[in-house]
Amino acid sequence: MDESLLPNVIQFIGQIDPFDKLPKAVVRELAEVVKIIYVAQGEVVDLSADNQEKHLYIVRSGAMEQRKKSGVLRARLEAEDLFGFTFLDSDVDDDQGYQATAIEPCLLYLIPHSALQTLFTKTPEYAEHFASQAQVRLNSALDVVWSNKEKGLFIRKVKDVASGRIAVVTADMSIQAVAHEMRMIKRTSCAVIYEDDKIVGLITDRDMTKRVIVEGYPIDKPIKDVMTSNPLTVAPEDLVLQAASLMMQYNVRNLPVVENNKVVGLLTTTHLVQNHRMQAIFLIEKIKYAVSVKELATLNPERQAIFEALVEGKVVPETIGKVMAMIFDAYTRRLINIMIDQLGEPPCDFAWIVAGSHARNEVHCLTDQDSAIVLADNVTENDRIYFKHLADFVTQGLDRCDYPLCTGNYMPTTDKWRQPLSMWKQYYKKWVANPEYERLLNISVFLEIRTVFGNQNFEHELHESMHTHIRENAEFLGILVKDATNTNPPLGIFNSLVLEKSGENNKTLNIKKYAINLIIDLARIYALAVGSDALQTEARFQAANNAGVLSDDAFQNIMGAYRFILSFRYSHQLTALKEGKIPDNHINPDTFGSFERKHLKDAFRIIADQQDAAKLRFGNI
Amino acid sequence: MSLLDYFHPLSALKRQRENYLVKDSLSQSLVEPTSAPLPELKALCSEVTYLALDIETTGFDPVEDEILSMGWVVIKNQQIDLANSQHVYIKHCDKVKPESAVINHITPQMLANGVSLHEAMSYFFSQLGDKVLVVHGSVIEAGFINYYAQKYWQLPPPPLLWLDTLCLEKHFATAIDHYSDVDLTLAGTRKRYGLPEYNSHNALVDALGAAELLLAQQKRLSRGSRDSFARLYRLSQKK
Repeated sequence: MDESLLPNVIQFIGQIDPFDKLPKAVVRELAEVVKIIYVAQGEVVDLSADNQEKHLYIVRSGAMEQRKKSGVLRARLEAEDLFGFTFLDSDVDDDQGYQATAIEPCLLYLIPHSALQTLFTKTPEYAEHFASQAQVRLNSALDVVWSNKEKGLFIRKVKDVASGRIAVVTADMSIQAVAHEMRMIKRTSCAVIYEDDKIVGLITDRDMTKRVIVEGYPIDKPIKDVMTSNPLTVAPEDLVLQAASLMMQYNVRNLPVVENNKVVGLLTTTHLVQNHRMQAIFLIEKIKYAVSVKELATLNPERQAIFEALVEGKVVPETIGKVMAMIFDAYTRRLINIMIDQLGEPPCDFAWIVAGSHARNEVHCLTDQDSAIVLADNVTENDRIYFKHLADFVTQGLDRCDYPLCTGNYMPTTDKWRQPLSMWKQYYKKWVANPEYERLLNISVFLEIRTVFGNQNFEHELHESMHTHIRENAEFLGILVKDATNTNPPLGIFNSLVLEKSGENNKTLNIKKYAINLIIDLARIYALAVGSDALQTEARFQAANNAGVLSDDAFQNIMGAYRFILSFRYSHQLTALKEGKIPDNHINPDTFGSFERKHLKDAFRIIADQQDAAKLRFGNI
Repeated sequence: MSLLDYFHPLSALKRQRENYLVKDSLSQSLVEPTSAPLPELKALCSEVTYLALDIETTGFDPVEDEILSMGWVVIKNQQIDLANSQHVYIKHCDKVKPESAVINHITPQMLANGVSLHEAMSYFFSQLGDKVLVVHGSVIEAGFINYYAQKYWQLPPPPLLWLDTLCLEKHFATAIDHYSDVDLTLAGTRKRYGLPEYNSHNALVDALGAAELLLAQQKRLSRGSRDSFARLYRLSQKK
């Protein structure tokens, strides 16, 4: 067929993912063998019928849906959607999705399975685009949109930057022997000191100068006399940004990289300044030295610039959330310190804890404040006034720095959320015992807490009592699951003619409500089920996977979906920022390309599948 | 045969065919399309093979105007098979004699460069064979084909098995509201069936458009594609 013969068919197919990744000539070849069928409303396309040739189906117009045997919607398919993928992979034993029913009259394009197989045999790299597993498709999507190239240093991992050169010595070795080991053997500025298989200290060449030479300390004495005890360490998987922030916070220049109590490397300031500008570090540094709310507020454009750079730099969403959380933390800490400078030292022990997405280190440019104060139990009525002032100042200050006040008033300005530890423990007990209405909302906010300032032990104690209560109350998880699966992902969002389950036909998709929150809820349930303290959504699924509660496949699927949706939201917010608009979570489906549509729908389907799985496992309903 | 069956348009066409004789070797390609057995009265729509045709012309008058191109697609087992679709451009500059038109000898190069009207017609009829000829608004196609048969083959209008999607649509429309004023153009009709809008037009695209429309219309019949072809055919007759 001549190129111009069926421009409508070729054009249509050529713009659909994954056909848009094939050369034009290949698309034309495939278009030549297309078969077209028309299915009336209510008609069923049965893909499992044995006697007919297998095809990949493309919806040209109309709408179809696939349901599971249980009758639950598996996918809604509209123009440009594909189905019949599973047949491309003979290994897939999927008893679902072999039937699709037209909910509107449909024109379907059929591409013979055999034509695709011939194509893949000739050019195997095309096969990946057509992978049957939604997860594989999502992964290839991430590769396309977010390449790993050209990431800034600060979002790289410690293991990528640190050197392996570090001396390892024991506590009873003499100062001179350690110095010899450092200078002559390892040629390093730093030694890690072990005692009985445990890291007990650290010594650097600067320490040697300050504590040995200047003090005239005898060099035949054991190194433990002059070492820095209980040194800070980092893990190979930590972000360089985290490590750098630690260095600045504690004014250290060397951080041993430790994995499973074993030293694997050393990270020094030299590694960090080599040839990189570390915007986020600079911002955190500036935040630390700001003296007023006004000055802090002037840094907002810089924060936005970093956010934009991270999104544009195609940084993985997990890291973006972490970096933005670190900056949020820095603002919070600085504001607390400014107030302490004004009010004097706090009259009793306390912890400023953050909750929700901030606690999970999943901060984006819309994250509002969710925080609380936990006071020591010996707090007096007078002391409480101090913390009321602190709460007012910090929350208002953050608001001026474009961290909006929490609309649900989950802030320590509310008396209820500024209470002694014993009261907090009672809260958790009550919430878990009887998680209804408001209590369920409260606990879902405070299920994730993280100390940003003050005594960390309070957070640990609360976590512990929470886990105890949850273990003792078998029904709690079930209620959480029920609540979490009340909202379903919008499988039919892309067709204005297809009504959503809610009955409402909104023009935009609230990606937070209908996708991100659903995944976060699932992660929380899994983490609680396996008693994990992990806060980040990814870490929670990982914990569930490690504990054998979440299969490898399900884990990969949900992670792929989560990353894709997060990245998608970040880009959406970036676009809004660039256009000078206020970023939001509302996405207009009309603006999606075929690529986004397909992958969003894959992601939605994965979420729906996981919700079902959670219901089965924990639902006891 | 019942009296009712006797007057069925399909039976009438059958009698017409029995009396139609193609003698000339030039018009051999017309033999099958005018003499192949017609579908049984009880044959289902879905059992019949169709060929949807569209021709582009310089105007409406078969005597004055010329055919520029012909496009067709085949519907078999309720599937439009693009592998069997064809698009033929007609070259008018060179004076190819009807005698030189050889059936089935059209090569891709010839198609790309254009073929003579005689080659195109012979090729078309050979591809039509025993299939049902589908058009949207058969006046132009029938006019040009009949004129060609008369002028070059000295034959009366060939008794082809025409199925007109426009007439079908008119029937559907008037069945609901006798005075209804509906848009019966291909584009307008397709729109009512929710079929996609095609921005580009050529003979093949419009043939495809008519083919898709026929599939949709068949589904609209009371028993869908399980309906008999004879009923479809009767509904498509001009009133």
